[in-house]
Amino acid sequence: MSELLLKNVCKMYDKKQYAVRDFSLKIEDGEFVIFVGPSGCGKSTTLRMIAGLEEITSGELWIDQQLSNYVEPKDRDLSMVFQNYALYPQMTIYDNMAFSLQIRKVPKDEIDKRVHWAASILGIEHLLKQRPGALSGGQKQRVAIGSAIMRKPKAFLMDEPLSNLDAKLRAQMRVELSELHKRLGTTMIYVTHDQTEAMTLGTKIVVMKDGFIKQADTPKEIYENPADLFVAGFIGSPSMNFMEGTVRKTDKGAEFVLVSGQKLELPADKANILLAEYADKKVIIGIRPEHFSTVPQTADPDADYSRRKLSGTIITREMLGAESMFYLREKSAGEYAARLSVETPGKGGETMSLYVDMDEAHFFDPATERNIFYGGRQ
Amino acid sequence: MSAFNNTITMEQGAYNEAEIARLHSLMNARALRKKRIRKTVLVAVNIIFALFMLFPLLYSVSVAVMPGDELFTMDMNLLPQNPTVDNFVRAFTQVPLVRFILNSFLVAGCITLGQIITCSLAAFAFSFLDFKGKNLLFMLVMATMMVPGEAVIISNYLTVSSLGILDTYIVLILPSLTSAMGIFLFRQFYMTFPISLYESAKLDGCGNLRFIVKILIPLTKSAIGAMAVYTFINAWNMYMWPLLVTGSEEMRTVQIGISMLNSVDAQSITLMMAGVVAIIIPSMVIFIVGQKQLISGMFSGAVKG
Amino acid sequence: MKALSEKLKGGSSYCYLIPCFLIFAVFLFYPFVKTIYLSLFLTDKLGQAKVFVGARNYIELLTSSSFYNSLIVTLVFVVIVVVGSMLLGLIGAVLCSKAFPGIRAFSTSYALPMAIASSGAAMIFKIILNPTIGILNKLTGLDINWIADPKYALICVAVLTAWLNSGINFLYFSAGLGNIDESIYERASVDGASGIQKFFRLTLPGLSPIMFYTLVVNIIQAFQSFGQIKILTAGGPGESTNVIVYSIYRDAFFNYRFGSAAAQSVVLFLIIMALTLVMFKIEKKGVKY
Repeated sequence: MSELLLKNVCKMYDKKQYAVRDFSLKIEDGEFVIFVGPSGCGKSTTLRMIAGLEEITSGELWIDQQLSNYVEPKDRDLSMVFQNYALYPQMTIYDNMAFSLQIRKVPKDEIDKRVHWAASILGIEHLLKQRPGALSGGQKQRVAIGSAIMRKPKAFLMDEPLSNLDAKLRAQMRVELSELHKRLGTTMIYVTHDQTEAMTLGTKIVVMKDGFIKQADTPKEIYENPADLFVAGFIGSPSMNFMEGTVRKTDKGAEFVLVSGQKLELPADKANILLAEYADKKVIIGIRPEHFSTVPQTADPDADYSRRKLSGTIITREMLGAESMFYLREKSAGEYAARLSVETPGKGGETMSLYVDMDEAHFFDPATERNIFYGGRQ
Repeated sequence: MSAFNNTITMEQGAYNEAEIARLHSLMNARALRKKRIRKTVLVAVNIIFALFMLFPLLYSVSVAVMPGDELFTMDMNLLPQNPTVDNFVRAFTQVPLVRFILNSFLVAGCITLGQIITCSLAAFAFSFLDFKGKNLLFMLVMATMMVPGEAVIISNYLTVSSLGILDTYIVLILPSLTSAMGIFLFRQFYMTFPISLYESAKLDGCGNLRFIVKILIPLTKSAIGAMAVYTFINAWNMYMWPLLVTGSEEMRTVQIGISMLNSVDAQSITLMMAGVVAIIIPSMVIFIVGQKQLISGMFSGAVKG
Repeated sequence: MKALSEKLKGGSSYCYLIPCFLIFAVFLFYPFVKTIYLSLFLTDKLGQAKVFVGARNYIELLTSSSFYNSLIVTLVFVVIVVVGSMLLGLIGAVLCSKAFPGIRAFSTSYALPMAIASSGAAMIFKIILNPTIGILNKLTGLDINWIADPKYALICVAVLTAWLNSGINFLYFSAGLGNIDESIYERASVDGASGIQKFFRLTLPGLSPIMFYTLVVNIIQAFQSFGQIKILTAGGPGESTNVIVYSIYRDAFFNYRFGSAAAQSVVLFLIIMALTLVMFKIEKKGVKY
């Protein structure tokens, strides 16, 4: 049973530059938490503060109900996997994995049992007598993870562990990490800048930017209900399309008018709120590429689908296998991407009109960048 | 649980906000103090060790400015009571120290320049050119590192005496005009450049010498700097060879000349120390000024491999 | 035609080697051979080979107790110098491995001995070790005639040499410490290692490649120490500091026994070569990368 609680944790460098600000988060036992964000957002710093490698400037860190701000790293009972693996170059793989237990004076046969247990999980038993220098990147990665799981710590901390691997290995290790987490059930805190990794691995994602938590939630919630423009744009590939426009009242309800004059009818539930606060004001609409289609969506029987269409000029299209990615240009809103079936006709230069699933569209306040419907307002 | 000296653990929820804040600042102070103590200890240990390492030098300076009668007492006399520069004045007037220093500068300067030229030429050939017996010749150069200078010094002495060049600058400079270490250092450096650098220069119609002067030397400034500092200091401190091949006072280098002070008379120890300090200063200054250069040049590739 | 120009091109390559090989030839290869040649002869006062005596110089050496004494003195001297200078260098490097205010000045002082001439250093030590006015006796309250006592003379020159050689060792070890990846220390902290455990399990093994190189360089350098011995003890008292190099010097330039001195030079070369080769053998087996 282990539980981590961070309360208003801040990290400041040189008494002026905040690296992390007001980081508050509760991490339950067994969770797989991902810190994700662009480089310099403070995610690694936060992880290193949890590990005890960086001092906490202010705020509280509770590990298992213990205030642990000033506990030495060696007494925190955590284990960490580093980006560059940090294997001890002079030791064999066996000793690398056994190190943390050897210095705790665990009996030899117990160490031996655990090394073989961890090695068999990760499939590195044949490497135990080698030294790190002789290993490939993927093998080093496994050794680093193997060394981490040896000790059955309170939590695993992983600092961009897959970023030095090639794409294929990364995908494979992702699956293995996910299985490992299921198997061990230990809390994992994982830092990455790759939103795909975040979405596929995490049970909880913490999106960070400029030292602040932007949103902390399940992958599904983050994807379907982003808190603001940044989260909406950061999560998902290709990114959500953003277009600026105005909310205008119509006889039936309300519509979103782009600068170029194209109109999109707003669903009734959203129309009410938008009209109340944003009538005739600028709003940013966010539409994910998969919410464009060539046939109308039929979830809303009252909708007038002819008024939920957006047309643009095709710039180019990309084959993705079963689907195609269309890149189009709208006169005023610029480029946007649409994911459509591979049979969809159309080539560069042609004009294309697509239905927009307005129920899935997001609306953002241009000034605050907040999602207008975030937090149960719909 | 894990309660270590500076660690206070507490049950979450068992305390109220104010108490947490109080504990927090208490621990903060403790952690800060521990950090400060660590730093102070580190600095203190460094000061002790540095004093220990520098003691002979500091003491020599102290004796050099000590009046003669102050030295000859049974009392503790770590520092002079009445510092004086008199010893320096006498050292410079009693023996031709200036001449010795100029000799040493000339000899060490020529050796440094000569080594840089011969070593960079040889290293260029070893790293960019292809010729028969290249590996064999390079091995031969490396093998010379194993031959101690003292093992061949007798034959060298006999050679130069039969050539009749004893007691000249040439004899001081000539044998040291190249070094295996210099060739090795430069070659290590040149090997880090892609061969295409040379090839593209060739295509542009750049001759070998031009390539060395215009491209290679500017690119290897740090290696040259390291080499220069190292060679100059070693040449300045040469002892056995100048001792054997110089006879007259005018040809002596500082290291040999200074031993003259050694034998002037027993009363002039302070004078001798003044002389020693005077000749240590040039090599020390060059070392301190060139230290950064030396380190970056010597260790940026040479040692790793 | 093409073959000829190729040949010429190859030939011009040798031009770049001429300056250095000329020096090597005259002042290293030739004297090396000549030393071996001389070691087989009796010589006159000018060093001219007069009578071929075969291995007699060597036999005389190997049967003379003075030579064995000189070997043992050299060995003891080298051991003290190498251990002492490496230890001093290592301590300095470890002390300067973490940043603190004034680190530049300290690291300069630890490296400084490499800039000091053996002759100057020997003269300074002569004063420090002086039995009546020397500061060492005053500071320690001892009354020892350091240089004139055979028990201490060798230790004194060895300590002096260790001090002189420690500067470059400091630089080697600092570079070695700098090459150790900082993140393995972080991982070790999280793994639960204490500072001492980190030093012995990570730092020392991490230094092992540079340690080896430094050891070889130090041994070769220690064997060649001359100036400090000449000035401080002149091989004495008795023959207690008569290391091989000093013995060569004395035989050649005081006793004019060039043949015997040459034979000792050959022995010195053989010892250094053997040691170097053995150490490289050990390294190939020991340090695995």
